[in-house]
Amino acid sequence: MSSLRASWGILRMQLVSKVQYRAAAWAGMTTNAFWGFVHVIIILTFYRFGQQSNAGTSAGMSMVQAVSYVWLVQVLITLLSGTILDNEIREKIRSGDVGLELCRPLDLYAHWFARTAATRLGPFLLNVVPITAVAMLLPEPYRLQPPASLAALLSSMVAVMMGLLLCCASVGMAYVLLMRVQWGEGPMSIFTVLIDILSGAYLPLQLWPGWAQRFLMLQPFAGIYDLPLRLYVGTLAPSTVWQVLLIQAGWLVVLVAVGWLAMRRALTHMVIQGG
Amino acid sequence: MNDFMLYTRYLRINFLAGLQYKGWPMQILMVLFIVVTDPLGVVLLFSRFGSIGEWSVERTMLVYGIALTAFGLAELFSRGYDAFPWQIRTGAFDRMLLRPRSTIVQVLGMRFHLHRLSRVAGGSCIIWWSLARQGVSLGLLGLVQLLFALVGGYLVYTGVFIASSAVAFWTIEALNWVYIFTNGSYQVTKCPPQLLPGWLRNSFTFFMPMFVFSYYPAAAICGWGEVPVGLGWLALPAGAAFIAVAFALWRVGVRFYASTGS
Repeated sequence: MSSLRASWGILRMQLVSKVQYRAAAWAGMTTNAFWGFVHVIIILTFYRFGQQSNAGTSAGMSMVQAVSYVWLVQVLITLLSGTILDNEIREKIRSGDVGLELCRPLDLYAHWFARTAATRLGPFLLNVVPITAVAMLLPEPYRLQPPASLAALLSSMVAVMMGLLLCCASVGMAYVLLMRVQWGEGPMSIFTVLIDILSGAYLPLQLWPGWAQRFLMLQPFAGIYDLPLRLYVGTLAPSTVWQVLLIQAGWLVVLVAVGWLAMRRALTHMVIQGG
Repeated sequence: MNDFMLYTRYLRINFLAGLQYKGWPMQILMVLFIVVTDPLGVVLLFSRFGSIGEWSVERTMLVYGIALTAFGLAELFSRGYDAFPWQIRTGAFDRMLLRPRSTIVQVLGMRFHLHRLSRVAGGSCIIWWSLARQGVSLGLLGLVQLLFALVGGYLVYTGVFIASSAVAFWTIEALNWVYIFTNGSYQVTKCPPQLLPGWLRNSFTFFMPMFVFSYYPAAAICGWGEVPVGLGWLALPAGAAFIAVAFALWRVGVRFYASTGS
């Protein structure tokens, strides 16, 4: 509970500081929009001019749905990206201030989990409206479509919230790797990139090779971007939301349990850096 | 001691300092993993949808590989500029102004990360793979053209670093947009240039000449016949012109510099 209260404070601080640095926020959003636009162009090119131009539709994803998916990844990137780590936690591990964190009467894992969620919600709340608006106002082939139905919107929103928890649990494992100060940095980066790839941030998982589909749908990271976005664009019916939530919740329990135990183990080997 | 000697000394010291961190082989692997997986999305798209007309995965990857390698070279040898806004913020640039040496050389040599070699290595492998798969054997002329393309690209990306640092003299806040011209720029090569919207193609040809040092030389070396062969030689002059403009901006910026920090 106290972790929750602390993270509410962090969220408020985040919002205030982001609003202060407006130019930086706008620059970030421009970059986001550019990135999204380029990815939309790439995916459109394949749907329109590829040799088997119906290969996407036969995989269950139409051109319009794929374009919306790519935009939604950009809208959600500040919330769900695996490669964004909280700089303060990073710096604490590097400088040895974790020692100070351990003095707090909070469970370190829960505290960092809540903190990570808060630092993601702040930028997301500021970005979501402008980027969605820009993406929806673009001319026809490039634009983000409204959700398939109201039920699709609601079910995808619930799934996105679960996705955030799943993402924080995955990033929690990355922090545990970072706590091995001498060698952790490299494996941590590889792990976070892997999260992004398998969560469908690079390409909708449905457009990956057919033989891998079953595995892709059931692996832990599909629940971060891919499954919630399937609900939004309508490649999964809103009634399947229960199955999606079940997959997400199952992996959430596993990731939290492994992360919590690994952190406890890492703390016994912890090297406090600095002086 | 002339400026070039000073620069190589900076690099040498930074290099030796980097070796002290025993994790450096792991860091090379880590960047290599990021480099190798970046084109994964477009490769999967090619495997699902097939080629786009004349544009096979090999063709696209050649243009991508040249841009990537050029960016890697700039990251390897001009990384100092990347960290420059921080120098302004802390006021550390004052110290550089006190030394009787070129500020440009000092900033260039400020950083050198061995693990940035991964992008150059990964990019070169992509170039080699796509040339081999297309059955193109590089003659001497082709090799020279490829080298010119990479050097031209190196100059352009270094120019982007310098220009963004020059902007840092006015504001260190809104520097995120520079990603569009660094890591974002080579994303654009994943799509055949003819199919890009005109304004996007033109801005990466005439404003930031990425297609001039990637697509034109690639077309000339492989004989795709889509652009006049002579354009393949434009990479080096375009790079030189771009970096000259960036230097001019830098000079103006230095003149406007008022110290910060304490």
